[in-house]
Amino acid sequence: MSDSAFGAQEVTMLDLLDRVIDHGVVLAGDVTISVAGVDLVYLGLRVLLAPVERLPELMNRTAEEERREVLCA
Amino acid sequence: MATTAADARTEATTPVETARDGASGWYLYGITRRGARATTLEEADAQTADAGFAAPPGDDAPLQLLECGGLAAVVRPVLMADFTPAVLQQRLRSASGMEAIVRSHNRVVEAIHAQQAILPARFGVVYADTRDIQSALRSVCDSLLPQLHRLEGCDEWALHLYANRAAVRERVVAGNPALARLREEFVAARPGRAYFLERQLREELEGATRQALATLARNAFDRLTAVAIAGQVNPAAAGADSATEVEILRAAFLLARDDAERFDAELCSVADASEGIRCECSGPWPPYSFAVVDTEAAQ
Repeated sequence: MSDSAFGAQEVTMLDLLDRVIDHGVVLAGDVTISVAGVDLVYLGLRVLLAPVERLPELMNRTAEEERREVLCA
Repeated sequence: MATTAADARTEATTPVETARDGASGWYLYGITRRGARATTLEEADAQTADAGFAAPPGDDAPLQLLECGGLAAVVRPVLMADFTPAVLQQRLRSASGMEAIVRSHNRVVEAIHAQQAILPARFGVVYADTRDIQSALRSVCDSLLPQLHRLEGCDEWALHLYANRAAVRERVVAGNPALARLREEFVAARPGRAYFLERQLREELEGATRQALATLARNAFDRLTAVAIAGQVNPAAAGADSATEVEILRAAFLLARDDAERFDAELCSVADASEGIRCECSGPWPPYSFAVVDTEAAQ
């Protein structure tokens, strides 16, 4: 790609996470171990990578709440 | 789905490997066409050196191709114990640790993607048995082969489009005589009347600005999709907006590598700084957003 719009290209961690964790195929096997913890990890990473101004809002959700949400999902 | 002669041969030549000690499983990186060059796999394998997940005991855990029909799953043996919620949560305490694992997943997918089309797998799915992957592959073979064909020579690009709220609001007022009149009226009004005029003005301006931003986003997406093979809108994360800017579009585009320059040119014209529109773009990515297993077709 040339400069201009792509000049400021930055492979952001958020774009990587959006792709690797939110997208991609999941093959349904008979004995698939679909990792229950991944959603939890994703939420946690979002907290870690969130803009500073959003941290209070995100941190209000305790790990325990997130865990319940993931388990109930 | 009927088992074909080719499948039967595959099964005969591919030994079914079950996790040896009951504690190891198979981590799936993606699905590609059968017949990848050995060097491709070696290159990708070199990317797993720092994968962050321990190999099963007595196994140096190389990447493997699990072939079935016209497809091949890119897999690697891992310890199941590394994938329990408790362990993952532990790793979560270190952002850099998790980042390394996620990046490692992507690097393997990228190494294959650089050589031939791959449907990237979602992060973190482990299978207990190679038979599970093979039977799953067999059931989706008819739907995945055309997808791989479509993705050949294509990259995914991620786009964030931001608008300067004040700049867009000004343009809205400039292009809307009724609003401009209302604002003049408000400026000249006495305090009592000004209070009501201000409320009316704020409401109408907010509505018109929201509409203008939505139109901007839709037009940008349509124009970019026209030079891409496909486009997909992703929901923007709430709170991604700053005080002055609002993220009006978060999208992924599938581009033929030859069309990258055309896309670039279109993007430059869409993200016009003089109109308060700015973009951030990342890529090329393997086609994560355009890899879908059509489970209904598989049944």
